[in-house]
Amino acid sequence: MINWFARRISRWLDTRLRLAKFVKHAMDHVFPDHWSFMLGEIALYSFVILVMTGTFLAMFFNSSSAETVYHGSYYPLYGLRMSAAYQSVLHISFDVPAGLLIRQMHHWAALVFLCAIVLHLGRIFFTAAYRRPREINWLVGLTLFIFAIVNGYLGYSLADDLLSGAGIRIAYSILLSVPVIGPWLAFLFLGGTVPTSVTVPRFYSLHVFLVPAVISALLAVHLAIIWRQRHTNYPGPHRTDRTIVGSRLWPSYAAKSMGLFFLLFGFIAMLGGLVQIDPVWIYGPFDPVGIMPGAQPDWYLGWIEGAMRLFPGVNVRIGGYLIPELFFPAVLMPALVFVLLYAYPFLEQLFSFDRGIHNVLRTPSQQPFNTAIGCGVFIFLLVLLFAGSDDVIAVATNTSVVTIRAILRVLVLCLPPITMILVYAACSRVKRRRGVPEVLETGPSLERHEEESQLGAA
Amino acid sequence: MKPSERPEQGELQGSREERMTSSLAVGLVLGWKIFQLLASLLTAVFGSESRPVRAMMRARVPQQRRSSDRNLEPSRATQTHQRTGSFFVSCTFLMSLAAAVGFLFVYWTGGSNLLLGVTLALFFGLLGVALVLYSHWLMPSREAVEPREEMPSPADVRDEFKKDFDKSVDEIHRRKLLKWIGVGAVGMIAAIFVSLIRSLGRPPGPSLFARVWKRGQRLVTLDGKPVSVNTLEPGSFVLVFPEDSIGDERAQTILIRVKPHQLQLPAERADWAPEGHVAYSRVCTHAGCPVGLFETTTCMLLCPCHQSTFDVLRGAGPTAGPAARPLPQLPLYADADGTLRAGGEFTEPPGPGFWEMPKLGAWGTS
Repeated sequence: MINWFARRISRWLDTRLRLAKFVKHAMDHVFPDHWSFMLGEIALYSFVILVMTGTFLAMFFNSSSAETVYHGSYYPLYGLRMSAAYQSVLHISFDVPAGLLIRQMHHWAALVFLCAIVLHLGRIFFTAAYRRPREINWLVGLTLFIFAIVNGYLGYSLADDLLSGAGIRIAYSILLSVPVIGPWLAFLFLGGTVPTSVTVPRFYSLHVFLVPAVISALLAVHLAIIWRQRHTNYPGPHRTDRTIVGSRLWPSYAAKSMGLFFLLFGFIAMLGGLVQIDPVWIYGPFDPVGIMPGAQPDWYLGWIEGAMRLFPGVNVRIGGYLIPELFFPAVLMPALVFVLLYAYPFLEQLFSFDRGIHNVLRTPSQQPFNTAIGCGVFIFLLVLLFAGSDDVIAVATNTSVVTIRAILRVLVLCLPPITMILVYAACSRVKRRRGVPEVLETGPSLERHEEESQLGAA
Repeated sequence: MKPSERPEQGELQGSREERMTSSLAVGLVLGWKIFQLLASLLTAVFGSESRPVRAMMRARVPQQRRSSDRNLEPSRATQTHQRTGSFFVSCTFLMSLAAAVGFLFVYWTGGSNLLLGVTLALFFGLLGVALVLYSHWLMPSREAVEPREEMPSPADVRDEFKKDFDKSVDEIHRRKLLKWIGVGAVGMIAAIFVSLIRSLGRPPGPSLFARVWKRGQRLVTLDGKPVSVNTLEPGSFVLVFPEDSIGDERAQTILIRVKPHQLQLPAERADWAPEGHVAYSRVCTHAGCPVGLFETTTCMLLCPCHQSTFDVLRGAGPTAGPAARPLPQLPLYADADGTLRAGGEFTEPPGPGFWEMPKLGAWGTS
């Protein structure tokens, strides 16, 4: 019955679209089998989950700063004045069936999304998959990463609770700190000095419309390019720059990939059901003069927060104009990190004189310099991430914030160079001992392989 | 809000607990029934002569689709292998279905977030496991080796394209006009889009430099009460505003009373602290958070966002943390009946720094 139906449908479609050749081609597409190639897939599927859960939330969210009085079922806030946006978030959390589950899944999916993106980026970097011909996808991927961070921040700010209010204030101060154009940036983005009534509707429009549209478009480009260029291969038998080795899309790879999607969905549902995240009802509604200690951004902004905490208070004046202390850690540092990332493939081509096409990856130990740079930057960002919660660490370890901060200031300057030297030494040693595996330009092995498999089949 | 309109807390909780207990009991019974059903299904499936097994045996033996593909483990095609595989897959799949039924049950009986999450997670998670197991046990596992397409197009294809393209361009008349149309259209579209950005906000100048305090204004608390020299004990503080902008973020000011002999204000600010009262902007000069914490023993103001500390006794200069500039100070005086009043404007515009921020003392009118 199902077979008959499927035959009819495919016949119907093929009569109108002439699909057979294309679908057969797609089914035969070869995907390399390595766990690290799943990281990008996890990011993709997290985005799918974000769109699904986000659509559900958008049915109930009210993006208005208008003041209302709460009459919902959460008793401690009953009768309190708050914005319509915050009230609708409480409504989702307490009065919509499965609303809290979907809301928490949405937030968790955002964290998993960013985490998968960072790991995927790390995989690409440490295996030098950004080399020619894949520079375009490296740039597209980095842009996706930035938009993912931006949308995470926008979503975090929508609930209009006390914590997201602090986040909006800090973002306003960061925009304001840019030399020359800062005040215009802050006023055009947020509509005036914070708090403004346009923040929530504006962020909502960006969060559900503009940024997801950009992410979807870039994602399509990202996937189209990888489909066209095909994946890289780890070094190994039969793997040359002119061949691709792996399993075909249909059926086993497709089944595995669908399985991964469901596993991820299950994992995020488990987090959404069991692990509380962003309990806005505890923080209370936004209050222009209120603030809470222990306020922190989501983890993917923790490095900028940490830099803001560690950077010393320097008062820089140029000809009577002020460069606020916030500019250096919160604008310049992230900008430098991203400029370095964007430029890296081209810098490497420039300094290594290697402009050849590479389809076989380098393992981290084969490229000591790259691995050392990558580990150094990673440790630098990791220390900053810890610094972003130094007040929490101080409370937990019962020491003063000043001590913790002094230690972290030393670490953030000393650990990256030490890491670089150690990693460089270790990788060089491994490289010397194992030698660099020869990657064949052409594949004499291909023909031999075919012969072998024909023999095997016979 | 009248108190009579509030529902009783006990009532709400009671009904929720009752619902929880009953749904748990029904869930247990249903769970047992589902388990029995599963057990009978499994016996039916794995009884050696049952139909599904025979159907499974007929499943096609993996064959090589391309001559270049090679079977990784040819022995996988054996019948025992398929039986073991289908056992694992069926088990996980049936369990995932049971979890889905559990989710629907919890949802329709209005169960808790926790149970909804767990059942949904089990459904999707086990479904995922089933698919992965299916792929591992019951699908061909072959390694394919294929040549890649060469990246630059072959030279003859490129040449042909270039010839055709050049020829087609040659057939267009008045190409210069077309160029001007293109430039003009793109330029104007860009100009219009960029101009529309201007609608998003007002010019920053006036609001960043807007005056907060006027000389003679009383300091009032959040509920509108004026503060006099007798309101505060030494070592205590209160949040105050100008009379005409209570609750305004930018105008929030912290009024602290210390013992007069402790104060070490700069000489020109010596008469700004009647009977030990000092007032500072409560907006942090670092990132704009309200500087909400006051440490009584050391007389320090602490910002909870990034832990900048400001020395209240010495004009609120930054002593630790990332802030670079002192909190703007408000000159104070007490009138004839002891009410505290502003003696002028803050020493600097309150809030985080910006490009055109005036130097200390160049803005306020003391």
